[in-house]
Amino acid sequence: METPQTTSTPQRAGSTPRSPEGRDKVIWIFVAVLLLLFWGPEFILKMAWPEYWITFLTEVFMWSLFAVAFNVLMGYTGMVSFGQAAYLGIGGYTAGLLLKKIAWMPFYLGLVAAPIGGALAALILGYLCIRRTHIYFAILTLAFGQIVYLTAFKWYDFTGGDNGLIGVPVPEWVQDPTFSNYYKFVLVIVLIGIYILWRIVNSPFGKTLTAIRENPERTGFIGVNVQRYQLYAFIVAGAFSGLAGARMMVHERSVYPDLAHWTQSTQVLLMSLLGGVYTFFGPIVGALILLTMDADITQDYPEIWQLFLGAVLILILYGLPGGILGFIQERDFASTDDYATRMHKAVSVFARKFWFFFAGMLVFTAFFSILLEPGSWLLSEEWEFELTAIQTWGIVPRTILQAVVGVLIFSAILRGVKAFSQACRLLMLLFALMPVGLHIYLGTPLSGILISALLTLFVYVNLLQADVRQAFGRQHRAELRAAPSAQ
Amino acid sequence: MFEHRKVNQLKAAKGNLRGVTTMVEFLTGEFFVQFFNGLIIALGIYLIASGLSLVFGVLGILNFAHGSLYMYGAFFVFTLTRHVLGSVPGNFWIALIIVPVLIALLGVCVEMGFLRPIYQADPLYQLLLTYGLVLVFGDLVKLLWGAENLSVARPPGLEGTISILGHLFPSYQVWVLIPISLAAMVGLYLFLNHTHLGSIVRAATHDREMLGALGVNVRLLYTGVFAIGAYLGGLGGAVLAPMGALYPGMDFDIIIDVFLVVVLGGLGSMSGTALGALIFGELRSFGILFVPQFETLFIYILMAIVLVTRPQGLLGKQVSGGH
Repeated sequence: METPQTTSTPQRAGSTPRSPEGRDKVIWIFVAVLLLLFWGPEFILKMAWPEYWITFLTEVFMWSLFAVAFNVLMGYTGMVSFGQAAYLGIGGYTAGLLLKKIAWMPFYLGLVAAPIGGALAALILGYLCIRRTHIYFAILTLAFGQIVYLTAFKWYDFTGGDNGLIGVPVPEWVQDPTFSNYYKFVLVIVLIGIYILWRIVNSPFGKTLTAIRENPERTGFIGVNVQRYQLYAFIVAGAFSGLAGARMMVHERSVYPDLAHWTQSTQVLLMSLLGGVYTFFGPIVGALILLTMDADITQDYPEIWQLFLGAVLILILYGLPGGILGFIQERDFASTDDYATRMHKAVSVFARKFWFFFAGMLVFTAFFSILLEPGSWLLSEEWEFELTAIQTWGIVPRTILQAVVGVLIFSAILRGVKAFSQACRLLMLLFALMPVGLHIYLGTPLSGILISALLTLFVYVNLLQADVRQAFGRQHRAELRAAPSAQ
Repeated sequence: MFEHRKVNQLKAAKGNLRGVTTMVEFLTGEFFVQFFNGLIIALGIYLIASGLSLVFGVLGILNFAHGSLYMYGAFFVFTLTRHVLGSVPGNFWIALIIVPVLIALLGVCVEMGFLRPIYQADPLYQLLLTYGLVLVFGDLVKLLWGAENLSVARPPGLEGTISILGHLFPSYQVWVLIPISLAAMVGLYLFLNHTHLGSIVRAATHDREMLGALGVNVRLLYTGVFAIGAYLGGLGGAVLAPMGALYPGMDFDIIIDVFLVVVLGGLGSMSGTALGALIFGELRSFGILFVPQFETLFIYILMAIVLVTRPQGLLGKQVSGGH
C-alpha cells in the first residue's frame, strides 16, 4: 500500500527507497501531525493565541485542497490553466443553489453535488480546452473562466448576480462562535480530498500524466491516448476544485461571483509555483506561505501586497523553478555515483543551500521587521544595549549582528557536517529549532515563524533522511572520510 | 472607458427601436450612432492591441504587462499635463509626443532586464513572468499616484461635440483618436510591408532561428520590436487618457479586452488585429443595444468559439497545436 510521506517527491529521480521501518515511522509522524491539527482549535484557545488563527488555518486548508487539485493539472500533466477558479465557483454555486432553491435538499447531498458539478463542467469545458496546448490552452481556459464568472455576475434571477447568493442554509453546528467545528469539518473533508488526490497521482494513471508532461509525443507513441488522459486530469482537477469551492460556501453561508474571477486562478497558480509544482505537497506549502504573508502584509500595507507578490513570482521564475519545496528536496545525484560520492555531494549541497536559506531568512526577517516598525531602522525608541533585549535594537544592527554570529557559528558547524561529524549534525538539528522557538517566544508575526519553520524543515529533510543519517554512523564515517571528496 | 458616454445614447436608442422606424431611418439613425461608436471603441483598442500582437508575432511572448504599459502611458500624460508642463500652451500635445517615447524606453528596460534572460524558457514561464510584472507595476502606480481616480482634461477646443449626419459625437474622439489610430494602422502597414526593417520583422514572425543564422542581430531586433510594441501601448494610453478616468487596475480591465481582440483576429497577425478590434468594438456597441446585460459575455463566448474551432484566429496563419 502507498503511504503518504510528507517529504518525498513522487517523481524526482534520485530519491532513495525507504526501509519498511522508516515508513512506519513516517506514518506515525503523519498521524501525530494530523491529531495535532485536529485538536488545533482547542490548543489555540487554551494557549490564548488569537482566535482568528482558527479561521485562518481553515482558509489555508481550503486553499491547499484547491492548489493541490490545480497542481494535478499544472505540475503533473503540464497544462497551465488560467481559469481554474471557474470550477471553484461552479462547485460553490452548485452546492449553494441546490441548498438554497430546494428546501428538502440534505446538507451533505448538496456538498457531494459540488465536486460532481465541478467534474461535469470540467468534462464539457475540458473537452474543448484540451484541443489546444500551451499558450492557446491558457487563454482558452481564461476565456471559459471569465464566461463562468460573468454568467454568475450578470444572471441576477438565478445566481443573485454581484449581490451574491446569500443566506444558504447551513447546519447550526458548523456556525459555532469560534469556528472550531467548522475548522474540523473542513479539515476532515480537505484531508479526504487530498488523500484521494495522493492516491490518484501515485497510481499508474498519475505516472501516465507525468509522462505526458515530460513528452506528450513519446507518450502518444507508446499507445497512450494523450488527449483523453489530459481530459481525465482536467476532470480530476475540476472535481476537487469544486469540492474546495463548496467549503468556501459553507464558511460565509453565501457565494459571490468573485470566487470564479480569473485573479483567483492566478492566486492558485502562484501558490503552486511558490511551493513547488513538481512536488505533491508543494502547493500546500505555497498556500500556507502566501496566505500567511498576505495576512501580515495586507493588514498594515495593503498597497504593497501585489508588489511583493509580483517580486516573489519573478524571483521564483528566475531562481527557484522547482519552488521552495523543490529547492529543499533537490539532490543532484548522478545514477553512476558510488555511495561515497553521493554522501559527499549530499552534505556539500546541504551546506551550500543552507547559506541561501540563511541569507533569505535574514532578508525576510528584516523586511517584515521594517514593515512592523518603519521608524526603527537603526535604533528603536526604547533601546537598551543588552543582548537580552535584542528585540529593542534597531533593525539594521540587529540584522548585522545576526549575520555575523550566524556566519561564525554555522561555518564551523557546517565544516564539521562536511567531515561527517555526528556531533555537528546533532548541533545543526538543534540550532535549526532555535529560530522557530525564538520567534514564538518573541511573538513575531506568523510570517517570521513560517520562514524559520521552512529553515527547520529544510535542515530536517536533509539531515534526517535514512541514507544521510547512516552516513554519520560509526561504521560509514571512517570510510567516507577516507574517500576523496566529491567537490 | 467608453461606457459612461453610451448610456444616454442607449436609452435614446431603445426608445426609438420600440417605435415604428423604417429601415432607412434606422440605417442613418440609431444604426449609424452605434456603428460609429463601435468604430471609436475599435480604433481605441486597436492602438493597444496592435502592439501586443506585434510583440507576440516576433518574440512569441504573450505580454500580460502590455496593459501596464498602457496604464503608465495614461498616468504619465496626467503628470506631464498637470505638474511638469503645467500652464504651457499645448501641453497635452507635447505630452502626446513625449509619453509614448518614454513608455518605449520603459519597454526597452523591461525587455533587457526581465525578458532577455528567459527567452530559452517555456513560453508559459514567460507569460507568468509578465504577469509578475503586472502585479509590480500595478502597485507602483498606487504608490506613485495614489489609489484615487484621476482625470486628464481634453485639450482646449476639443471639449465639445461635433455633428455627423445629425448625430452628436465627442469631438476629441473624432479629431484625435480616429486620425492617430488610423495613422498608426497605416504606419504599421507601410513599415512592415514596404521597408527593409519591416521585412526582417515579418521574417522573424516566420522563422526566428533562420533569421539569426542569416546574420541578423536577433537580440537587437527583439528589443526594437518590444520598444515599438511598448510605444503603441503608451500611445494608446496617452490618447485614451482624456476619454475616461485613470485608476490603478485599469491595466487589468484593458488587458483581457486586448487579449480578446488579438486572439479573435489571430495572434501575431496585424490585419487580424484590426479586424478583431472592429468586431470587438461593434459587438460592444450593438451588444449594449440588444443584450445589455450579457454584452461582455457574448464577446468571451465568441473568443472561445474562435479558439476552439480556429486557434489561429480569423486572419492568422496556421498554427500546429500551439506556439
